[in-house]
Amino acid sequence: MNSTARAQLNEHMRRLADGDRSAFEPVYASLWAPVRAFCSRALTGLDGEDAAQQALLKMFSRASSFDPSGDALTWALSFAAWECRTVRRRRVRARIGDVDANGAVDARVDGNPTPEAAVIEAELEAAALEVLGALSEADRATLMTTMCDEVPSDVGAATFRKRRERAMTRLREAWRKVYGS
Amino acid sequence: MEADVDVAKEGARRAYERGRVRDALVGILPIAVIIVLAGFVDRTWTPVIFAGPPLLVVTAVLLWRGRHFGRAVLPGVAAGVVPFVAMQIARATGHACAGSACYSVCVPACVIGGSLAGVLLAQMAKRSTAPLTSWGAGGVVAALTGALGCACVGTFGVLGLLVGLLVGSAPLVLLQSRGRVQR
Repeated sequence: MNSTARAQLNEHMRRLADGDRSAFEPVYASLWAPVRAFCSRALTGLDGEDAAQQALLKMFSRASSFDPSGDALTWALSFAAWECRTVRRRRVRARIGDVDANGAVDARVDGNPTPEAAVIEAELEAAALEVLGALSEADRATLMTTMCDEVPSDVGAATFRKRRERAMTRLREAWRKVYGS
Repeated sequence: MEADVDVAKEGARRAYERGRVRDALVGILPIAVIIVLAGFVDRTWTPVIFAGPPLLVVTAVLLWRGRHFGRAVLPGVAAGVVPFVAMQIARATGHACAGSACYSVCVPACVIGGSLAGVLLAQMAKRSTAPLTSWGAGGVVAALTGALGCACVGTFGVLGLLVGLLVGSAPLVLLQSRGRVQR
């Protein structure tokens, strides 16, 4: 939005705050696109559009309290930012609720993981790969053998147990180094 | 898609109107306090019962409507306080006697207070870009506020107030608005 359009928006917003209903259309037309773009960037998919609508509802409901010396776009975006924050908090709360109820991030009713669950799983996977990458080739091979529940034929069972313990210790250290306790 | 946008816009418009109604209701709270105070000061509740509710309704509508109507509320109430105070002074004074005849000064107090209120309203209207609208809206509010005091002497008190308001403000406002039209 260029400075002329912004000045015009401020003027329309001042008139709307004063009670001039004819300024509603231009204010709505000027604010819808930037507020929707802001919310879509801050959130994803339909949530962005819904948050933009909610933000504009709240903004228009408080239109009379607009400070005439203020900037209308900044004012509208502050409502949008607040709405996006609310949606994010709601998402986080829902995620925590899923974990509490089932002990793990839950899947959707139709069996597909929720976008949030998918993101968390991907993050965990990346974290595990990052930590495994910090280990030596021998440690990685030992751990893979352990996960497959096999005992290699070229070493004795006692030797393998000692190797496995050392590899696990190093894995724990590497994990702690990257992600803390 | 376009229908969704229209629905969203209508929702925003309704939210705007709801916000204005809420602000108008908040705006009339101080006026409600003034009305109750007037009842206690007057020690008679009849004027409050007759003039109070219309004053609340009118100010709520003016504040909701906004623009010149909304801006006229505060000066209107301020101007209306003048005849109210004049009436209280007159009641405290009692009556004026000329020879053997004594007269109540309440009705003259309403006329004089109304005239002063009219001058105040005219000054407010002079500064407005829509003098007649501001004067009309402010005049109704001032008349109802003043009636809280003047109604206790009956219809003549209210009539005196209205005459005073018209005499005090009409010439100035009419001259002002004619001057604007000629310019």
